[in-house]
Amino acid sequence: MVRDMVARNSDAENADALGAEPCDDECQKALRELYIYLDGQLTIERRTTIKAHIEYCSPCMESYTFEAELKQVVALRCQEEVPEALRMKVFEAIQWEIRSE
Amino acid sequence: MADQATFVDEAMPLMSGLYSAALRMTRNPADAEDLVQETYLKAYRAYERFEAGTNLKAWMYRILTNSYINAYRKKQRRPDESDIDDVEDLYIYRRIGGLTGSTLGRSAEDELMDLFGEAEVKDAVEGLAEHYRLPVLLADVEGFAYKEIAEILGVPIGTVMSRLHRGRKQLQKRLYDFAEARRLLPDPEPACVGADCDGA
Repeated sequence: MVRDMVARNSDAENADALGAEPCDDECQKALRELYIYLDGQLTIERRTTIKAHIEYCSPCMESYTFEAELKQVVALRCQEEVPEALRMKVFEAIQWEIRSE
Repeated sequence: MADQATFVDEAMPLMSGLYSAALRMTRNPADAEDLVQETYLKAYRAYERFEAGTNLKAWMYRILTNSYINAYRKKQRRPDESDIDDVEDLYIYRRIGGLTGSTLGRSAEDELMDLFGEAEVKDAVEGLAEHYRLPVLLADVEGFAYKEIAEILGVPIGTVMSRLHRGRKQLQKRLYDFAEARRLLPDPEPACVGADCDGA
């Protein structure tokens, strides 16, 4: 699922056409921008460039996928259920404010 | 200008995110509950000044963050809240990258869920120094954009990005150390990362 998120429409033929280049400058750039990519904060142009790179560079794809999964695990693990009593307390406090206006 | 009558409908659904963030900030349920209640009351009273149609979620988090900073920050300094030395990028992946996906039929995400349990992740986040903890929470848990985080925290975007970068690395170091202490990890076998690998 996360892998899909990292590279939608990964296309094997497309990757062949680009040719698998060895790890180089492109990898360095891709790794530098990894989190900005995962945060969805790159410009469309940079995003497209990085996406094209990780689709044919499997070490980069692995790093991207790993970090995306880790980010998701952190988010899932930090979810809290709101105590019902708190919900009621806040609701009542606001009702009280409304009535006293 | 927002109509106060709509406040309950608009703001109540945001509570679970606000409460999660409040707990990571204050690190205890009683303070988190007080902080959430205070946030809602302040927001309700100021709601007339909130510009309808703009980002209510970010606005509420801004009130939460300011309330926390004003009321709770001073009394809390935990000995384990520290700014540890800078560590390398992809700290965990470089150590256990090859591990994930190795067990048939289980996703890498499941393996990471096993390695990093709820208590460990919460502890790791809560142990971050505050100037890292807040950006990491807002980005990774709440999913805010850099610009929104900058507005919520009242700092420039560049500051948000550099704190996020360092904060995430420290979070990874903490997570890794927890897992290692619980002996959940195999001997490290360095994963091939970008330019470090020889033409794989």
